[in-house]
Amino acid sequence: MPQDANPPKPAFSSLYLQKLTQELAEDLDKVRNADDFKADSVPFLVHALQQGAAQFSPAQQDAVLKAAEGRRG
Amino acid sequence: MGKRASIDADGAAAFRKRQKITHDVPIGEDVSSGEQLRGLLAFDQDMRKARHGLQSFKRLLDSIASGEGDRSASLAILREYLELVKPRLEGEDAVYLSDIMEMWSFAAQTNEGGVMSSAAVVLALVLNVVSDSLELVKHGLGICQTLLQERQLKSISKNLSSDKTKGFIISPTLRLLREAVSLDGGAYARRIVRAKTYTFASLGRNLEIGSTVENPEDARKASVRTNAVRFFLSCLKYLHSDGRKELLLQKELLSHLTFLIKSDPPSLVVEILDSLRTHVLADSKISRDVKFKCFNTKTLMRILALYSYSNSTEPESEVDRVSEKAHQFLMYVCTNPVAGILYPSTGLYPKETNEEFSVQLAKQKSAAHSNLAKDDSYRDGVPVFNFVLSEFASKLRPWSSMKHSQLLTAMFEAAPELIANYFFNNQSFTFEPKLTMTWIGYASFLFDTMKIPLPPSFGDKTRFAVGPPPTNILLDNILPLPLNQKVMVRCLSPNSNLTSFFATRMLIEALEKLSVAMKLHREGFRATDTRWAEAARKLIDAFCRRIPDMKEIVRSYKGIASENTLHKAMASRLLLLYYEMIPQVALAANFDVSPFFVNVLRSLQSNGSDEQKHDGFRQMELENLVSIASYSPGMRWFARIEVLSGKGQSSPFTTLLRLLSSSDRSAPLDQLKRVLADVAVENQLVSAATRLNPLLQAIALSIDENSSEDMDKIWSFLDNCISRCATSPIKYLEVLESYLTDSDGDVQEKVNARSFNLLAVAIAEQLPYVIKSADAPERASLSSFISLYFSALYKKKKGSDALESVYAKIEECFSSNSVKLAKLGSRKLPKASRSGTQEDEDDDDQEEHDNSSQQKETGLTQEQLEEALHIPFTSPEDTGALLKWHTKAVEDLIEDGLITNLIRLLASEHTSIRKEALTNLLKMAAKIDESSYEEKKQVWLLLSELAESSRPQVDSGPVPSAFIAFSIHALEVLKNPLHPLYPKINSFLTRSPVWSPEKLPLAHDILHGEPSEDDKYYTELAWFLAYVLDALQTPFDLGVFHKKRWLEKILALGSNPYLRTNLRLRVLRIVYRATCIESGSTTLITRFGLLTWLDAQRAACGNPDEAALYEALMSRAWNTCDQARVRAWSKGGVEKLLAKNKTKKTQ
Repeated sequence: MPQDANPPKPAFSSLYLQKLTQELAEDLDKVRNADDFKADSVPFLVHALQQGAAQFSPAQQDAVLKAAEGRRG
Repeated sequence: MGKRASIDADGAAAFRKRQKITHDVPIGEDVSSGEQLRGLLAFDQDMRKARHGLQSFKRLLDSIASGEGDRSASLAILREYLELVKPRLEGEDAVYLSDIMEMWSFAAQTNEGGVMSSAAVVLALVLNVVSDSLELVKHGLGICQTLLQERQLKSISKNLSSDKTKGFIISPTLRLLREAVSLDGGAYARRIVRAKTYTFASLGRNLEIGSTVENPEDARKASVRTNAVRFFLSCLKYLHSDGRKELLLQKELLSHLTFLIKSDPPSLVVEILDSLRTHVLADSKISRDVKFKCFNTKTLMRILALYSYSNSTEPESEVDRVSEKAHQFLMYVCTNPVAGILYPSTGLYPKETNEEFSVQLAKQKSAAHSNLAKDDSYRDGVPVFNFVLSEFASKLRPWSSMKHSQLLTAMFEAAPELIANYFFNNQSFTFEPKLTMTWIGYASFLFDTMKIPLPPSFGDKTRFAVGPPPTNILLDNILPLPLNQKVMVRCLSPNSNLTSFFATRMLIEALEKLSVAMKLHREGFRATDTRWAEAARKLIDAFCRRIPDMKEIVRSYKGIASENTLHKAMASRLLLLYYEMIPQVALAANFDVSPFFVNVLRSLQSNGSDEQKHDGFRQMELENLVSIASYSPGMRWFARIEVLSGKGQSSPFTTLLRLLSSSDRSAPLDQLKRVLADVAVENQLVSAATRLNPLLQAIALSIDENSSEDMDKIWSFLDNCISRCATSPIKYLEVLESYLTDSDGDVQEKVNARSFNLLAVAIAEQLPYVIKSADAPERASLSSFISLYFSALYKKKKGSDALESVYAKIEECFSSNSVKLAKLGSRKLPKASRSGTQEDEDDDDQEEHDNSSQQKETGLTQEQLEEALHIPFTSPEDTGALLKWHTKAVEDLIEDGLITNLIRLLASEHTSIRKEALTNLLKMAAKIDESSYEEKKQVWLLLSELAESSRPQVDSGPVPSAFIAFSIHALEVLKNPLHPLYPKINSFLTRSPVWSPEKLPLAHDILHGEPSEDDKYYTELAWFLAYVLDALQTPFDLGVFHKKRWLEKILALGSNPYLRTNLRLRVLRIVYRATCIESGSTTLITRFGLLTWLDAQRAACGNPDEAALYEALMSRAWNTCDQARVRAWSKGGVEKLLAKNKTKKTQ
């Protein structure tokens, strides 16, 4: 797996994953019911969903995290 | 060993064994002294007695090894015994423990299995025990030496080769050997391995006598295989590199070692992998070919099989450890060059199949077109250096296992040549979208592959210097083969969010990678290399063919539900990337971004849930759309629309401005700010120097000061002013002019004031109308905002009269309505106000600083001047043209520029080349005349006249550049009869058979004659200036220009106030060129008054950038001239002029 020079921040990765699972919930249910879905597929699925977090620059990650903080505050 | 003997032995042994089991299992007796032990172990042909003795010894050793009972007493007995039986003479032939050795040998001869086993057991134990004790080790070493004597070696061999059911004999022997190898840091390892005929007897077989998956090994009782493996690993450990190499080259040993690895207990697997890694792969002294031979695809596959290792008796954590270990092992093998499997490769430049051929090819490549034809040939397969890894890669299943995927992408990263190769060889697995784990796994693998950065220099510095990598291979690295247009379109279908999201993400990755690749194509020397330019074009074309059309992306974007903000943000980013990277595709789709843009604005502005307002992804989408809008020519920034119902209309520009400065925004929107400022500058709302900063600063402070209702009034006022400015800029420009004429500043002042902005003027103009309809608090807030804004502007450029007069007008208006207005510049602007963040301030300061520092030196550095004006002298001569043209058709000659190359050779410094060129020109003229080319007569005439005019010159030196430049530029015109100069050139050619070297051909007709068509004067001029620039190359040329006063005429041309910038720049380029030629600057200054001309031009031009250009050119002329002469000529006037300019700038 390519070693990213700047891996995404863990907080952003988890926010990304959370948002993505929410947006793709319907399709993910279908995947979970597919024949080839096994118990050990979960880490792979999580990796597949989360890997896109690396496409955001550190500045973008901060912006999203900051906005999310604003939501909570 | 013969088969027959083995059966016999087996039968006899089986008989005896049964007897023993039923009747008599010797258990031995307790030993209390060394003497007693010697008695017990004295050689006796009665094997029962022998076993009894050995068994008693074993009991003693067991008690020492396990530490039970009185360990030191037992140890003392052992010591005593060892001393008692120590051979009297030391030496190679000395026999330690001679009784036991004799017993063993006798048993081996008589096939007495019990004793064969017991002897080995006891000896292994003795070695084990003595290895812990410093004083006893010497006995151990003696035993090892004894073992290497022929009699003992035979016993060992006999033991090892016992029937495979007799693990009880084989195992202890292997243990004994292992102890012997490891004793005292491997003192005897090398010699034991050397005696491999005996010590390695049946090792291959023994390595495969193990437990099976169905019948896993008993943890307490190690199998023969386990013992054999441990022996083998100990050998590896204690040998030196050479010994290891020898060991590894033993036939099939490694294959036997790994054959049953899947059914080994976890600890053994880990031991094998660790040992192979540390003692073989990481040993840099073991040569690559040995490692390569051992770790072939078969071995790698066996280790790969451990990924799914299972073992029912072991705890799960142990089992997981095995698969993790195997993964680490393979990662190491496949990605670390030290391990010997990974070969150094050449990245995106495929392996050249034949070295000799490749040298030939590289030579051919220096000719412009030859490598392009080769480009498509890699459609039959991609040759690689790492063929083992390539084969291994094809066995992996990256779509179903994350570890496989990790391993494969790691291999790709280590050897990028494998990427194109892999996808080419494994085309059967398609990416057809399905909502299954397999599809997701494959998508994840492809994404990780795309994430691998392109190697520097595309992986091969040498070939990078020669030319670009094959387009197909580069493309496969950017966009793997399975991602073709058809499949991607299906993934983007709105039926599934998941497939469409994944596809979007991949396309983004691909486009971003494409931009990196393009950068590599265009940097450094490659910027001017036609082959790289051609390759870049081909890459873009091929890429565009492989990706979905823009309309598919738009459709997918439209299909995303509005609450899926992450998906929308990604889709909008993809749209933006289409605009940025492949505008030809993006613009063809005619995508109107404005409705989407308004939708996002609405959702961000609405009073909806907090969640909507504070969604970073939605902001990102908005920023992307704004950037797209800035690329769309049709975007109406200032048209009023109703963004929020009930809140009145406002333009998208103002709405965005409002969003940018809204107080509850925590995240910075840099992209948005940039685009808005660009739009504002483009529409002349604000000056390029200050951009939006003063306005944003004033707005931010106003928001703090005023209530939101009052702010609404300010916003609507601002919106009104902005829209007016944008819709009728001419009107406000005129008003601005009037302010400028009021203030009687000199020209320089006016230039400065031009950067003063229209928005301020519009505010002053609109104020009287709005103030009438406003109530008192609203008036106060307006006054506050305006004073803030003007103060911010004032701070940026102090002392602008125009600004002051505009402000005076505003003051007047306020006071007539009895509203107070703070004095200009009196409002305090905090250094870091909230919206104008620290960063902005820094930017501003930086900007100011930069400007002033730049002006202090020279408006433009000499490097910048060179970049702006310097056109390199014509390219080096291509003597190949002398030969090449013969083989080309006439049309190709004229279209391809071979004629041009040939003509240029007339300027060569070598007489012979000039002569050759002349002869060839005449031949070529004749060839053209005989052809059926339509314009053949004119071209023939041109070439003949050129040749005749050059003939007297070639012997004495290069032909005047004017002849060459004229011929080349005239040829372009002759090719195109619609060119406005076509008639003029034809009549010039028919006028006289030779041209005068003292004249510039045709120049007179253009500058002094009528234009051939009324409106074509400037077109003719453009051609003329290009030709003249080309004609000015040598001091001789400069002489012609000087004598015939062409320089004067060209400078006069430059004084034409209606000359377009483009043409003016051409004039300046000619001046610059003249300064590059010896004594050019001096001639220009003393004969044509260049410095005063430049100074006058500088003063007259309105554009500060252009003024800087003139200034820089002045200093260049001064720096390159004969300063002493010029100083004398001007009586110091030139220096005064330059000094005056300098002081003006610093003011």
